[in-house]
Amino acid sequence: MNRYENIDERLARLRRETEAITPPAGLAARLAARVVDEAERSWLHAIARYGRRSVTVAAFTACAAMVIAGVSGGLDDVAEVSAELAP
Amino acid sequence: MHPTRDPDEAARLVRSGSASAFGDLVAATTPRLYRLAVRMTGSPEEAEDVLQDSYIRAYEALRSGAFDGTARVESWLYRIVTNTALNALRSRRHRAEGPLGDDVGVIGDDGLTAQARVALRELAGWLHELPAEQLAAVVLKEIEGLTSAEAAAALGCTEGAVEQRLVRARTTLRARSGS
Repeated sequence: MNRYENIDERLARLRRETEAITPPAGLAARLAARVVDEAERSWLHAIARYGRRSVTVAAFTACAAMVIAGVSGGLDDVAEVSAELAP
Repeated sequence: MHPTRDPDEAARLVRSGSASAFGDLVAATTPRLYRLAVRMTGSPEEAEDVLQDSYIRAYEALRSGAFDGTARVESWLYRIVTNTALNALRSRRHRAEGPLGDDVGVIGDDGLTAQARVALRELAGWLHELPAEQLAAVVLKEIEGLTSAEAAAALGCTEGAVEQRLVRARTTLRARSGS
């Protein structure tokens, strides 16, 4: 600001002088490519994360099922033997 | 097929699943949003980061249906860029860094003329001591030329709050120029 310029004049001059700001060549194309790429990658990460979690849950469920099956089978065996031994 | 250049039409296509239409939306809106981000941050490099973060948020909102298309997409993007630039300013200040004006134009082709580069350095140096919200109000109203209602919509506050921030900013700037 020079000594003859007030706040309004300075703002108006800076507005005029920054009016010609334009994006660097190719910025829009670079941004669009980066954004879509980033978004797709985050989708893939989400799917991979969900997939890993699903595999863990499935493995845990399978183990639990095997244990339950084993325990129930064992109980059935005990019941069968008891029934056979009964007079 | 010719690529669409109307931002609202491009946004509608992105919402219906076309990733390629997003390129049209970015091409149509980048010039105005880049200038806003440069004026807010005082730095072409930081403005590019602000734009990238803003477009990522916009893309996710369009794809998830969070943006329903009732507002003009350009106004909505303008608001996102304003908020992202404000956050960038706040985080720069939190790191206690000074204005970026001195670095303006150091890196090659940043789309700035020599006059714009000098003016941007002056603007960043002049406004950097203002609180971020006051700086944003000054840039939106006095430099971007928005009405108080438009600035309030971009900042997510009332017109009265915009006017109050402008009065405070002017008081600070006047006191500094008098000292």
